Amino acid sequence: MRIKPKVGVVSCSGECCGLGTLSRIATRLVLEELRSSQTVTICLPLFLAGEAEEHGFAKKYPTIEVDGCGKLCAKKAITKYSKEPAAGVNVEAILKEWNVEPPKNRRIFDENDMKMARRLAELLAIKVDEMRKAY
Amino acid sequence: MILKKSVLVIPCSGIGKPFGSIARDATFCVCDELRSGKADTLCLFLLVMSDEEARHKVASSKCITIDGCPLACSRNNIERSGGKVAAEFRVMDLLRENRDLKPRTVTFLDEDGEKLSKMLAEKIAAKVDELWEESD
Amino acid sequence: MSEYYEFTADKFVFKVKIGLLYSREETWAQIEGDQVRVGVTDFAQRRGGDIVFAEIKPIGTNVVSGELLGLYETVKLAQDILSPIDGEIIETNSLIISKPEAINRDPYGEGWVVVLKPASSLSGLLSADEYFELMKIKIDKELKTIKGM
Repeated sequence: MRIKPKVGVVSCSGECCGLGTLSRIATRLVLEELRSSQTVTICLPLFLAGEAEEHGFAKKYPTIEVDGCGKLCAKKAITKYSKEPAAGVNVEAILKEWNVEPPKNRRIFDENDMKMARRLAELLAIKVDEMRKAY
Repeated sequence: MILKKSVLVIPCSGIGKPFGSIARDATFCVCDELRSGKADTLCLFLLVMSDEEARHKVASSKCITIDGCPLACSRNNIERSGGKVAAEFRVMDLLRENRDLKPRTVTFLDEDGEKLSKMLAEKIAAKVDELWEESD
Repeated sequence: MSEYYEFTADKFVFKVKIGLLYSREETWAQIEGDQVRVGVTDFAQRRGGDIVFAEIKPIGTNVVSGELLGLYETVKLAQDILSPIDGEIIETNSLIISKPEAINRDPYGEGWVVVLKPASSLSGLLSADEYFELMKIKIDKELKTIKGM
């Protein structure tokens, strides 16, 4: 029986706007609820500070980057310091596709914002499944 | 009239522990409510990825770093990017002053996390005032 | 040649320092002449998370094997540090009182807890090899508990 690796999920936490918070919450929902035993969090600040375990995991196992906007900080960081993520999500672009407005408040999320976060988390969960199937 | 530059408050936003969420929440509280107009924040990751605007902002502003744990990612990343840290706070230090508080959750702050965030925000706000007064 | 045996689970690398002796209660012992330095294992410190407080019994305290040397506290738990052998505490590490994160940062080095004057044999303790195997079993159990297996 071949053991499937866990997938590392790396979120931007962009403090500039609600998109960063949305990325963070959606990522946490995947890690805590939807795919808790199939995923591992890669803490981006630790990763950027050169923490060996974060780097080690990202080099060896598949990762999904969750970026709030088109600046793609998480994707660039993971690519620069380990290897290109196996999959990625640009939350701003996805919201445009869905024709929904981004959250207005970066600190407090209302019911609609949470619905968006859950929808995004479901999308991420599907990507996790796809990546694990490929192994 | 000379406009003063905002004091930059930069949290670590660590996603693996409650302390990162507390740092982030306290930062937003300061920048959006307590000292709106005097305090601003920026994406730590933009800075580390050498975004020009972020670098310029850090180089020309007084920076307060808010770290969740002793690994001090915000402070270390700011310094590594050439920024100067005018003041630093660590959530763990606040925990030591409040032994009865045990924040456990990361995604959304629990009651103890919210209490700590509020306390931290007040301390940061006071430091923002101090640095604001010092700036010319 | 590495100083440590290493075991990776997910992204975490658990280390066992070669050359030390270990108790089943997650303390290590290092023989230093007629003294024994004692600390907490890497596995134990990781399980608790960031250590916020540490307390140690005072110098002069006599302990028997399995008795309390001190404790540390994280937001998740309060963990007793149990003596691996009988002895008298002759030195305590003040660094872990002021900066308990030293235990997280360097559990086999600057995060040591006490130095004991031993009053019993260390023969009941595990070698690094033996403890490494035990640690892997414990890690496997914990992962199964988390997954609900």
